[in-house]
Amino acid sequence: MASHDAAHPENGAHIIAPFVYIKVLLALVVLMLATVFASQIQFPGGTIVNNIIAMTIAVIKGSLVVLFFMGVKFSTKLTQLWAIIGFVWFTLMFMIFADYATRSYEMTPSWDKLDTGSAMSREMREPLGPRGEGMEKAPASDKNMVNVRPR
Amino acid sequence: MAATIPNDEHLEDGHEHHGPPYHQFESIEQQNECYMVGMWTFLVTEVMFFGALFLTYCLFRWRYSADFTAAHEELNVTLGATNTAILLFSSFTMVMAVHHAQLKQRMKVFPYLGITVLCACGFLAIKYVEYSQKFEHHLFPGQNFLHALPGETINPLEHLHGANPNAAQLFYSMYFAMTGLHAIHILIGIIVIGVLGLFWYKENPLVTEDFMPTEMVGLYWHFVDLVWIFLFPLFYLIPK
Repeated sequence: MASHDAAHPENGAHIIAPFVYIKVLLALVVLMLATVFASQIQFPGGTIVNNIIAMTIAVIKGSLVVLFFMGVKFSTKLTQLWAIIGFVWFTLMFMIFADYATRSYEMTPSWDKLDTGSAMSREMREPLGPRGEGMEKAPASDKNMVNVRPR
Repeated sequence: MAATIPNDEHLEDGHEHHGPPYHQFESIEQQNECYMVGMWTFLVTEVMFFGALFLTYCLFRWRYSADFTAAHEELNVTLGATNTAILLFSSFTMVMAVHHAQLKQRMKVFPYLGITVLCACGFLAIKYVEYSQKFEHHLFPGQNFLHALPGETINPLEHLHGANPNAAQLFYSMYFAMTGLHAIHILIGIIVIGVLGLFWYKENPLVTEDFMPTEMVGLYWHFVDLVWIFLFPLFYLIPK
């Protein structure tokens, strides 16, 4: 058999020097402290900036873990595809926010402290009638006509 | 007979072959790749079902952002950050165990697996402290949410920090569902790493001849760490 050097032993392992792992660990701890610190600051632009910073740091930390600790950086192409595919799906799933952002939210009576019921009456759900007969009487607050359900 | 199995160089020298690569694989690289793809397939299913919970949490936090901000003040950032550090460190010790498994340095695999299990137990111990505080303050969602028992001097409403009780209950439902599911993963990790350590102790060829089982357990453990990396800022560090 051909001789195997230290980086490519007979068992097919890809050996990474331990100091690489130590550096990754240090980076992870520093990033963890950074995210705690950043959460205490009030950035101009509001809490959305805090959220973006916190999630960016989390994604960087996650990438470090996946690339180095899980060894995806040094894996075969097929493994890399498999590793990425779950996170791609995860990102696509968040497209659901486009739907939530463009529709008005229907309050349910159970959120009213005075009403302990959990079910919505049909009158409440469709105050304008099942086919929207009373559409001209639509309240000004119901701009998106969420209470008129097509059927 | 070697002649009946062409392309198998390991049998050509006439010795019986034990251990990897097993006969259905052409090379050790192919065998290792099969392990990796199989494990990642499992991890993708994990991403998917944790992903659904993350999405649910994000939607509720978006809708009730003010209440979630108020309710999250009850969580202890110091304990959460400590747990993050513990998990990050345990991920490091796990990867070092895998490193020494790759080099077949059996006596160095034990201590690292041992430290990993200790870190995992430490994580659960801190989680126990956090959970028991929530239970004592009647913050566990359900029938008794915010209902102090007769004779108790606790006022659970103080622990809401001004949040709407219904939205706060939603917050704690997500908190217990997601961190609880994560804690179950930690528990499974302790068992699996423990069994792995036992195999190494017994010099079972399953782990000593092939580093991949150790690598697989490592992948699982890093995934658990990965989930916590996202849980920590989402639950403990909600901006005001």
